[in-house]
Amino acid sequence: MAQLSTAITLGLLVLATALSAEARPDFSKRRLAFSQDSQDALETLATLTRHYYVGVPMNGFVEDAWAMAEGFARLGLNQSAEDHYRRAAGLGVDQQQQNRAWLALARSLAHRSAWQETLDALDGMAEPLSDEQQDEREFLRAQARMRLGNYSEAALGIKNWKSPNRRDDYTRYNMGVALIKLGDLKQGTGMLEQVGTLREQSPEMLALRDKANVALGFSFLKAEQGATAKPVFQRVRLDGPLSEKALLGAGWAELVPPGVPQENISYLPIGCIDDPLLAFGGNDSAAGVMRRPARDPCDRDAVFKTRKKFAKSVKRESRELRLKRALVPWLELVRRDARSAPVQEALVAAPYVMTELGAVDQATDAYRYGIQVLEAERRRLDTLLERMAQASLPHTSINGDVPIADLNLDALLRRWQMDGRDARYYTSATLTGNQFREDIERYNRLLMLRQKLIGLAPELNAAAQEVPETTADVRRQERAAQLADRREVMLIRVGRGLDALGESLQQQMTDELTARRKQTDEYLSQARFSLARLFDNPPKKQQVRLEDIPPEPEEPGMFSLRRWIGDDSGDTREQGNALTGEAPSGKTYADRQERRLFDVRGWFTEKDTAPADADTSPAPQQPAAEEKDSSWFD
Amino acid sequence: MITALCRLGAKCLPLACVAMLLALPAGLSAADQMAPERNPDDQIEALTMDVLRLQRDWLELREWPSESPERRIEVYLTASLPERVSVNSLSLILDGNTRRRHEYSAEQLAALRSGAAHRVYLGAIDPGTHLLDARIEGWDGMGRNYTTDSRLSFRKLGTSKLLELHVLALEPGQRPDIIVRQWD
Repeated sequence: MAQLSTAITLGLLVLATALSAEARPDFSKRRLAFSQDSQDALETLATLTRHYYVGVPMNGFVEDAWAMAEGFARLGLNQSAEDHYRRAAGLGVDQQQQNRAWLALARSLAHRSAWQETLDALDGMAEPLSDEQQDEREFLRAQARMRLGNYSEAALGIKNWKSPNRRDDYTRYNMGVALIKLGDLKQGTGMLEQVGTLREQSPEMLALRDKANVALGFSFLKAEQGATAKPVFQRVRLDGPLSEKALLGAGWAELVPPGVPQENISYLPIGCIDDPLLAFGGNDSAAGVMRRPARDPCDRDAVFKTRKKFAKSVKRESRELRLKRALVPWLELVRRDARSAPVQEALVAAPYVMTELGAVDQATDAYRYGIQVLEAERRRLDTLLERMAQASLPHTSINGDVPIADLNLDALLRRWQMDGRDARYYTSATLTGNQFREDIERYNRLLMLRQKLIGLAPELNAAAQEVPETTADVRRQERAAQLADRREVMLIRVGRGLDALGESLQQQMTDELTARRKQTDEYLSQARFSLARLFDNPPKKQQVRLEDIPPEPEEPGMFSLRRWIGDDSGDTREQGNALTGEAPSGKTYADRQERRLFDVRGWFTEKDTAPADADTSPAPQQPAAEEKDSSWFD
Repeated sequence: MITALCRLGAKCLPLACVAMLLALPAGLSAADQMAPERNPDDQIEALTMDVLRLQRDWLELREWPSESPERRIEVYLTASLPERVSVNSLSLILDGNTRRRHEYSAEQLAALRSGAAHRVYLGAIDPGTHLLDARIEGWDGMGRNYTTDSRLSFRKLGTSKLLELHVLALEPGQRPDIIVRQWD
């Protein structure tokens, strides 16, 4: 227990000497530093603007304009921030000050998607630039050109890019996704391939690499290039957050046409500053002795080393062999957490493959197992939806009556009684979507205002209630009373905004949970319908029993089919009636599977290519999420 | 009614609700009333500007507590502390009346360490003799709480009074002392 030491020093330590000889200090700058360093943007701005606009800046016009811009930006007042960044750029006496302001201006403009103005601001920058400034300028420039639809210029920019910065890879990823969505598969896959073969082992880059490979794999599936897609999916880490999507894709890669290997892929030559020869002006430079291995995207040999699967002739493989191979990743999937959408799909797809292979009894068991799991999932989703409907998000507190200073995901999930895994599996698109993040940002801005207004109350009320002694005191008291009234009105406005934002956040979660429930229902109907068909119209060919998956040593995550079918993993989910589900008619199972296949291919264009817990620093832009946002205003 | 509307579930509705609800209360500016359909970011930006103006107006009012500078008094807190020694709170009592109690956040403490000054109190007192009590609580860097009190009897002349409470500790484990400086 901490020791409490109390000492009263009555005047002993008090150097209460009247320092009349010492000049009276000016605390104004140190006071400003206190509000700046303690992140009190409102107090800082109030102080700075009071001095700046009467022509007496605290630290000079440039630095004050810069500090005010930063304060406005921290408060989310983008227009005001941009005005002051422009002012700081215009007033800057040296290029370094100007570059700092232009870059900050461009960052702010990009944040609110003013892409043409972003390019204009970047054009204001001039040499000398630090490496970091140059990297960020090129990153923002590429982003802006892409968003303006100027892909050829953006591609040219990347081609001529001689930066060692890691933002390159995020830009390539974004650009690859954008190009594919625009229909330029060849250039887009080339970009993604470069990211998908990165050798860097940092968690951040591994997450990006997985993301690129999943996106690339599904784009090849869509182009009916199963043989090209398969090794791409195999690059994804089996223990990573995207492994389930990759396993699902790996299975489908066996079932779609193999396509022409390495078709629809184009590599862009990239200048690498890592290569000292380039940095010092080419081969004639004496710096040749400094040469060291080039980085991944520049090393085309390295790209092809990872693609030996292409050498295999897919034409020599029988359909049966490929069906059995498809089972390998799917049987790995069905053992995983059934909250994951790919796992749910595998619960239906795996028995379909068993049926195709003639293993009808095993398919029947697998369908029954799948139906039990999917029914349990549906119940779980119903429970979550009920809790969501009952929850509220009062702005006064998240838990009890304790006022909250800021809203984060953990606090929200606690409020909604949802654990982290539920959130990750069921609502990842919402949680990683721009809309949700922006709403949380707005919510926190309002909370900050609320805290500030609450903090003003004691002093304002005390001033309004002081007993006046002079005429000046009376005026001051009246003024304080007016301010106190204004404070009350603002507090009400903030509270109502918080309520509305809380409802918006909740609605977004509810929408995705409802969509997931609908999807689970669809899988359930498919499983019941297929099971009914197996009973009503069993395949005529001779039934077989699959004893094991064909060995394929290169395949990670392989395990025995027998282990799965005979597995009693302690699942206590109650037995469901496999035949009570609604059985749509008129389509064969194969038709439905084909349709489903196209749904799967459509994944790539959907919003949930990002894992819920993906490290996004710097965050890769997600065009799909942007599309979702724009629909809000339709 | 609007809350009911917001529950309708249309995807476009929540943002519209934010805009509508922010625009509703009394005391709206004319621009707000004329443009209830403004997007939520604009509404929040307008609200932030209003709070900023309120803060600035309050700052101005606070700066000149009285038109007579001979009654003005300012008290600042500054600190010179080793890394692990902290100031968690400060209480200020002037002539037996508690004038201020402030809890310091980690950011504010960092600001003090880096040389910033916190204006703890700005007020008005009559010329004459006064008594100031200050109490600081915190951690001494060795895992122990400490409390340091200081009392100063000072004379207020017919000019603005400035007091600096400087919290000083030379090494972890040492209970910080308060050094008071004053200027007239």
